[in-house]
Amino acid sequence: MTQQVDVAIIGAGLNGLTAAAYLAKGGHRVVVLERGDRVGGAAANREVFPGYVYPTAGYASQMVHASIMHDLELGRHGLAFVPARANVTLSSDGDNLATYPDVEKTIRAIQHLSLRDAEAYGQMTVKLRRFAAFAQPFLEAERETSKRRAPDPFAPFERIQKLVDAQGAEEMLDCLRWSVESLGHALDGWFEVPALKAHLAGRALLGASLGPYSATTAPLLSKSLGFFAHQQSGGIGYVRGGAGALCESLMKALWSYGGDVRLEAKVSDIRLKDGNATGVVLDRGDEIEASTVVSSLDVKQTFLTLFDLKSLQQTFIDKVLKVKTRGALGKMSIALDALPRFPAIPPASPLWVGDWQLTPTLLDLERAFDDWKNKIAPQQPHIVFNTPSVFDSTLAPPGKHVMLVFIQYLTDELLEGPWDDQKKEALCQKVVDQIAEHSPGFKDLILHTELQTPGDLEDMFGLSGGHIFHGEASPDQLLTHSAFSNVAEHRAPIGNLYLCGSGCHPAGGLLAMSGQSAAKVIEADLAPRRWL
Amino acid sequence: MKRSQRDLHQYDIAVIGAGHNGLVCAAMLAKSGKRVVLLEARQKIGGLCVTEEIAEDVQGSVCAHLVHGLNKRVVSDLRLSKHGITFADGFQSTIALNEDGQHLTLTRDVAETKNNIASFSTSDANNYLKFDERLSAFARVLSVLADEPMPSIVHAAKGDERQWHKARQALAKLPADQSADFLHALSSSLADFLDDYFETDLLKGALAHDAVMGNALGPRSPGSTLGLLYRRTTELLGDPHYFGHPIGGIGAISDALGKAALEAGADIRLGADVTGLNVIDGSVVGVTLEDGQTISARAVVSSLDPRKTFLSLLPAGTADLRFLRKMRHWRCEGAAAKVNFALDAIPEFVGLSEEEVTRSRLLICPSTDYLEFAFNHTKYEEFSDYPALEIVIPTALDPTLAEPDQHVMSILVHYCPLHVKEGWNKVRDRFVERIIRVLTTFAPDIADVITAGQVLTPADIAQDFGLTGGHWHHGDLSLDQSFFFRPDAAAMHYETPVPGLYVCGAGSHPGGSLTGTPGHNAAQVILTREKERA
Amino acid sequence: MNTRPSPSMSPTPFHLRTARLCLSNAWVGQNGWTKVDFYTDVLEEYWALRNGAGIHDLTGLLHYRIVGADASSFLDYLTTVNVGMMPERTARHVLWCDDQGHVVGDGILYRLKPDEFRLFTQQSSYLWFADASVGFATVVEDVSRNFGGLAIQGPDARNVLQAVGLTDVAAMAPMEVVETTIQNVPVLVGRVSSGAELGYELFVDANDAPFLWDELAHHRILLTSPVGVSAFHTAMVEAGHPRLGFDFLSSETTIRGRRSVTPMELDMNHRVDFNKPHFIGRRALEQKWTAPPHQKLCGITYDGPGAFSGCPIRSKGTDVGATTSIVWSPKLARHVGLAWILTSAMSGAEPLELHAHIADELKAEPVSVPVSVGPRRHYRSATFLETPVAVA
Repeated sequence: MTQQVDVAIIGAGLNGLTAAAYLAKGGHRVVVLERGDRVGGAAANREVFPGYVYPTAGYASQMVHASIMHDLELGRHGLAFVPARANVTLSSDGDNLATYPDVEKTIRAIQHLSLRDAEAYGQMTVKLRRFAAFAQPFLEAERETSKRRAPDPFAPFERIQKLVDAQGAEEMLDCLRWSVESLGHALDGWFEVPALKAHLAGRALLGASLGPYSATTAPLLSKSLGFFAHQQSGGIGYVRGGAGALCESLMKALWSYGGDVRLEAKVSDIRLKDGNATGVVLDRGDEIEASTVVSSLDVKQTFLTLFDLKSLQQTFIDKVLKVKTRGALGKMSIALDALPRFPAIPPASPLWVGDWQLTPTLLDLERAFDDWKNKIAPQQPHIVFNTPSVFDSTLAPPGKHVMLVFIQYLTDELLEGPWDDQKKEALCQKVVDQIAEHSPGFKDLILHTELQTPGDLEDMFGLSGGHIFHGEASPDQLLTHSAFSNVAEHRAPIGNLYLCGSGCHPAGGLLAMSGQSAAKVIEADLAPRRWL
Repeated sequence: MKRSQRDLHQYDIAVIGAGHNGLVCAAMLAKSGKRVVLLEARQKIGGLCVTEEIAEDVQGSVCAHLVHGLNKRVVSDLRLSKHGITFADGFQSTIALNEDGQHLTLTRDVAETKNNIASFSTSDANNYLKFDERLSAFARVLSVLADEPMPSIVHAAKGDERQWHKARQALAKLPADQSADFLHALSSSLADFLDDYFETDLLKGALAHDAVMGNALGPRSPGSTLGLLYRRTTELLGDPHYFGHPIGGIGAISDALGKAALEAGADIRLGADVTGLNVIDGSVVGVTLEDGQTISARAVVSSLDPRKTFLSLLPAGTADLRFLRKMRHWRCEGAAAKVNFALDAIPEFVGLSEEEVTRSRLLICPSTDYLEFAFNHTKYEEFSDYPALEIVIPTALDPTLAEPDQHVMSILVHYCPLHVKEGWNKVRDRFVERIIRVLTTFAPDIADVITAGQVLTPADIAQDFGLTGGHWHHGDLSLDQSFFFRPDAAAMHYETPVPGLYVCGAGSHPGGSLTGTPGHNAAQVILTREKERA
Repeated sequence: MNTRPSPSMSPTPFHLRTARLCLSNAWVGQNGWTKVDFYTDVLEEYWALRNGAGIHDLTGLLHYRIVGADASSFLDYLTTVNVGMMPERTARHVLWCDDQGHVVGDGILYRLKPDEFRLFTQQSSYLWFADASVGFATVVEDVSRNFGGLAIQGPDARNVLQAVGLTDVAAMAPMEVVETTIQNVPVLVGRVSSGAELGYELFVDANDAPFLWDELAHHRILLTSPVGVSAFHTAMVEAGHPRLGFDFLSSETTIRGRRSVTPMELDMNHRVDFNKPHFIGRRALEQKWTAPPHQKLCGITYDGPGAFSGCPIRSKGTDVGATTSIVWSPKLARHVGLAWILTSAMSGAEPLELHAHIADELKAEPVSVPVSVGPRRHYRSATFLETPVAVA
């Protein structure tokens, strides 16, 4: 059985659906092929314990960009956001340190700890804004160039020259340095309160495969606080209904534009003819002919599993193999019989609408990173957790709650052998103990727990290495993307094949921006050439 | 008018610190007819490049111990060959030790090294040629930047444009896909970079060791590949004949530089500990010594580390605040130690002949992970039980150091924190024990031949040599402390924001190691300014 | 137990007094304090400032105490003015710059003793001060929360103060400072006025703030009235005092470096003194000193329908500047204000126009108003400088 479409999109994840919806809206015949039994990819919700929904992704993250919200009418299709109210670090003395989306409010909160740090926080945000302006030309990449030429590594410096004119020389050099600094050293330079430094770094490093004192981590702070220009719309928050609800609304948008989604349709092969993609083959034997094929899988999954490797150049395969996807984020979901009691935070406090941390110093974070690097189970895991059922009643029965715990620096390549139930149980215990230290009676409320290691995420969602951002966001991969310049701009080195996964420009996080940007590139390529 | 002003000063230029960069700078300036005084706090010139007694009647290279990149221009401009440096006929090769006795020998001869690697892995052997070629190509780009003051990208002057153009041309010579890899190489971690080429841990460990040498960076830190490129750059710029162990120890290099400086007419004052810079009307016009003596000079050049120069010698209220803030955040916590043993026999190493032991640089760094694990501890003020070691036993080839039956084992230890929780005095012995234990794995009878020993932790180096943090290179060679940022955009041209004050140490562009490049570059800048002034 | 309060605006030490009088319930925030925008009527409060005596709660200003053997040399390094030459018991307007000669902040510096100073500023610069003071035998302390401050401005200001027993103010010259007492309560008084009017600033311990307010209110004579932020600001604009954070930005807070300004662009060359030891930004300022500034913060006036802040100023159709603060000046019966204008457009050869849109029913009408550009000071009362000859 052969179906004919204009665009076949592999994977019904956030970016796949976004690209599909844009292209369908543009009048193309689009079909999305999802191997699972529901849409959502890495962002799908699951009901593992009866009555409780465990959203897969779900720490406070960047909201979907306003332009996508607007273009795809997601609000009409049921999407709702809960803006994050604060980020909190609970300290062992029963106190808490909170920072807020509003800079002024945060400054006044920090004043209680240190006047100096409060002012430094204000100036740090200025620095981050400057840096965002500086980084913009790099993030914008060479989208405008359609020629497939070898990139000039000095090209970004030419853009810097333009920035010098716009920004002032000294500020520009400061930004350049910030981009290669370690977050730990940068924070040590700004602040004196250890908990504040760990508080800012603890969230910024979520998902990263680097430690606080690894060079080049400073820019992660800009991202976590939402200072990049493309983040300026929408702020930071949670999707009501979990990330799965976001995918649902995208699917509805896709349908409304006449696009189609086929579930349980695992693509086994991308068809090639004369070096151009001509369609896909499903593992149950169906073929779909498509003039354009788009993969929302990561680079490794796309090229190493969907192709006859003989049809690709060895040098290219080598480059694909070199892409680093060492996942570092694990996740634990906890079903709770009632709202846990945290003496540091009253039950009705707005601080519940936020991510909480416990790690007190940067060195503790660094130790957690070392464990990951050394391939051992975290001895003192760094966790970021929230209780989304407090602000989203769709996730748990009335009065009951769901807690999501993200374990940063969880390795999947344990030296002492793969994760088994016993090791997982021990880690869960460690995490629960940590939380229980701040919440008397916490353990008695637990009805069910589930731990997902990066490997589980890989198995469940086909993410290489379980890396939620489809590849490490280190500068050698991100800013220069030298190995894959064209891939970073969505065009694969194979005719008619595009990538739209979150590893592509502009990378990472629940943004759907990669899907949007891929759709724009594809749309431009599909537009009839105008001859003058 | 000009004349009388000139006469007010005892010297045209005072250079602080007679390490190799201070010596090169002073010699170059004196050679051009400047009245130069070189002030050294210790009783001996050389800084970290000194040969001193490490045990009774046994001399050794106390800190630095091998040469591999002394700048060609330094050698020729100062006619060093005239001042009697000879190199031991050995130490051309490095042997990376393997616990199973299957060692790997690396030499400067690429083909030979390739053959040696082939017994470990054929693909690594093949990749080694590609790796070496690419590394050299990248280093050629960097050498354009390193051999002159760093070109500006802001307020770019004509000379800067020319230099950028040259760097671009060097890059354009590379095939297109390699030029794209250049920025990738600069920003990636050593471990990742080496993994791209090789599978043999022993080879990767050896290459990584040389790249992180002296820095508080692990091979898994992004940007650590810069160390690899930097080392190759220094080798490209270096005189190939000045390689290995100089007869008489590393101090022989300093002595030759000192002779060149004296011959050029520079005054060298020993025991002249500079405690402050003298400032009049915002300009540096001389220095004050510990004994209260002042020395006036029209310009002062500091070869000390940036923190010492700007935060301790420069009086408060002389430099602007943003600049000072950056100097306060300059990272120069030393991470390497030096251990020197006196031996009464040459120890036997499993799988090595005595000739190999006495004519090679021995490396104990079996993998990048080994190195990274050793580094982990320094972050928490601990030392590793399994440090990486670079070992040289020069006495068989250099009879000037000790009596015939005495030997020196000179060991560079990675990593070693500046501070340990318990305080160094309590754990110094344990530190040495650990090193001996690691050595014993490869040389089982090592403990029997050691007669005396000397340990220099970063804390000791800081104290003995007046080096902030005891950092060998005056500051980590990391992306945020290199190029435009060494030590800061306002001082990358060796001129500082304070009139009359220049820098020429390893903390300035392009960085550390026994190259003399910063000293030489600085002298060029100072001479140009002097000419403009005249 | 949770001890950390959620951050919110703090009441000023005068809050219990001002809140009772604030019938408008119009409040504004400044540096974390809640202040009265206007009590009942801005015009009424304005005229109290100009014709009688207006009392304004100064809380919201940052208040620093700088003491130590090196305090004077530290301030000479920090600021562009010659602090060493500043006599005791005087006040000065001072600027501090960064390495590039861009203004980081400005404020009023009081010299109480040879080695004790107070510095008052609109925006916190604590970090800058603390970092700059390294190496000097001096301590910089933020004492903003320890003190309550009131400004009293207007032709009757002196009479009011004398009436509450502050007899020493009679002979105080402009920018003179005294430490005195009211009924044994220590008060720091400076003859400093931002509204170009006879005026004083009084600072007491925060606990004595209600006492100070009550004293001034109890002895209130004709037309003395509390003055909110709006009317106080109007007088400031008339006097031509630019406000940090409104009319110009600290170079520590500009996002684009190009928005930082030099003292020359602020037309404050007289605040830069090269006849003193090194200060931060000196070398950059020396370099930039002779070059004509690219733009200047000028005074503008116009007759027109509304007060337009943040509007373009055009010359022959091209933008040559933008307004910052514009107020209706009751005293001058015109709109007056401040604007950044390119120096090239200031020759006077070409007429300048202010462009704005006025919403009128369903359409926004573009309007162009001719503006005249001149010095920033639009008004100064005769009483500003007058000091009665002391009776022997």
